[in-house]
Amino acid sequence: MARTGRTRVEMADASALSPVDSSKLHERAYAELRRALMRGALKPGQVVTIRGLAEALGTSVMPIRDAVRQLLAVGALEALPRRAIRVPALAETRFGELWALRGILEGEACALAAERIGPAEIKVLEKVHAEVLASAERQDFEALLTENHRFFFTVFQASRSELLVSFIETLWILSGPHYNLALTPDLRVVFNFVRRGLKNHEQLIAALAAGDSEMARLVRQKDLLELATFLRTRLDFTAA
Amino acid sequence: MLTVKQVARDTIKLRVYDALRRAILEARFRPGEVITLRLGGEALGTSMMPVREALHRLVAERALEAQPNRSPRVPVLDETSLREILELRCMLEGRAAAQAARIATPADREEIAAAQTEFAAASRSADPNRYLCANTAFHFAVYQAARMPRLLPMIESLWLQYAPTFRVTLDAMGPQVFAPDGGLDHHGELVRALEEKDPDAAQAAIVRDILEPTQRPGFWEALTAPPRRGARRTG
Repeated sequence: MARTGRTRVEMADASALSPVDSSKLHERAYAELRRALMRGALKPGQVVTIRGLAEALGTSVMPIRDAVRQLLAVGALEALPRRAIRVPALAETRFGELWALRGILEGEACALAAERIGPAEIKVLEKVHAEVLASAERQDFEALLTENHRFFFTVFQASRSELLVSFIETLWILSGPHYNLALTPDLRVVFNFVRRGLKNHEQLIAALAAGDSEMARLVRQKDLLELATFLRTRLDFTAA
Repeated sequence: MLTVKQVARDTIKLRVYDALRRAILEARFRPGEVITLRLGGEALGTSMMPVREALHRLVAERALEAQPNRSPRVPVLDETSLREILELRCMLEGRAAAQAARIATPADREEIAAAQTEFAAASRSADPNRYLCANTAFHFAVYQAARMPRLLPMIESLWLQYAPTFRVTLDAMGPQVFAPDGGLDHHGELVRALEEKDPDAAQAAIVRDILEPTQRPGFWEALTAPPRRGARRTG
């Protein structure tokens, strides 16, 4: 049912995979591919080819090959026979594990951030949150994804644990394709959910500003639970 | 179509990567040691090309540290980064152990028990290489039983970063570390927790096992001590 957002997907595809022209081709290709996965430009089970990705990014095959190898290593892509590659298929156990790990690691990052965040960063968060709200108001989905990512990674980075942030980033890459399936042609459903969820952002800012670690952890975990519940109603695990 | 040559090349690449990774995990290299293409190639009896790629990937996994205009080196951990790794280890390995207690099969438990038997023997042998291998094998037998394939590479990444430094602290604390320690049998506690399907006890045992060495005299001092020449064993 949730697989009807084809037009939407192609739009996300085109804008998420912007052409690469830098000298650090491999790093750029890797960054672009990660970004595309995180934003749900690809869906679970989608088969891709190195040549197809190279064309979409406007780069040669070599840097894509390296980037793909790195994504294979973290399980964001899977190798199939005959050199084909795919995004891992939808599976309930995988979804459950991802959200459990996100709860642990993002909860911990928020708790640490509450201890370590400074007033300047709180100001930044408030500003970014205003951008998130504005993009939700405009129903601008691309901007919403960008600002939402900026909001949470500002929080996670305030944990001052680079390792924790890198693990969470991997989990976001692995989670991204699920969002693709949850998109419907009628984005009102999505935006209604998003607007309710944004209350959690405000509570998170309040917990961080108050230096309340346990509250920050709980708010993030509640937010993730609501996201999982929303996605579960839209993901058809039995079809996998 | 895959050519025979391509398959052979991919196999060599993977083998070289696995071998280097294992060497780091088993602490064959010291913190700060520079892993040149030649060193890697010589150790593995291969040309430099596959080593270059393996080093690149190990840097991406944080097992090695990139250096400007130089070959990468084994990370040197200061107290802050070591504490960060230890905290994450407790969190992630505690979770894996708890999950293993919930869902381990009898076959898993048998494998874990066998790994524990070898670990006990390795502890008595006072051979640090054997001790480290057996310790790694035991821990990963438990984590495999948790069947959390997304969690496993994160734990591996932490071990790759921690292993060389752990080896330094073991060497500094002396051979008594390997003596069979009566009251500190965390692996035994973990095996019992798995048998009793007690997730909380399994988690507690793993956390004690991770933190106990850091509470021994000499552990933190070893981080700042100059490296002991000739203490290195490769093989």
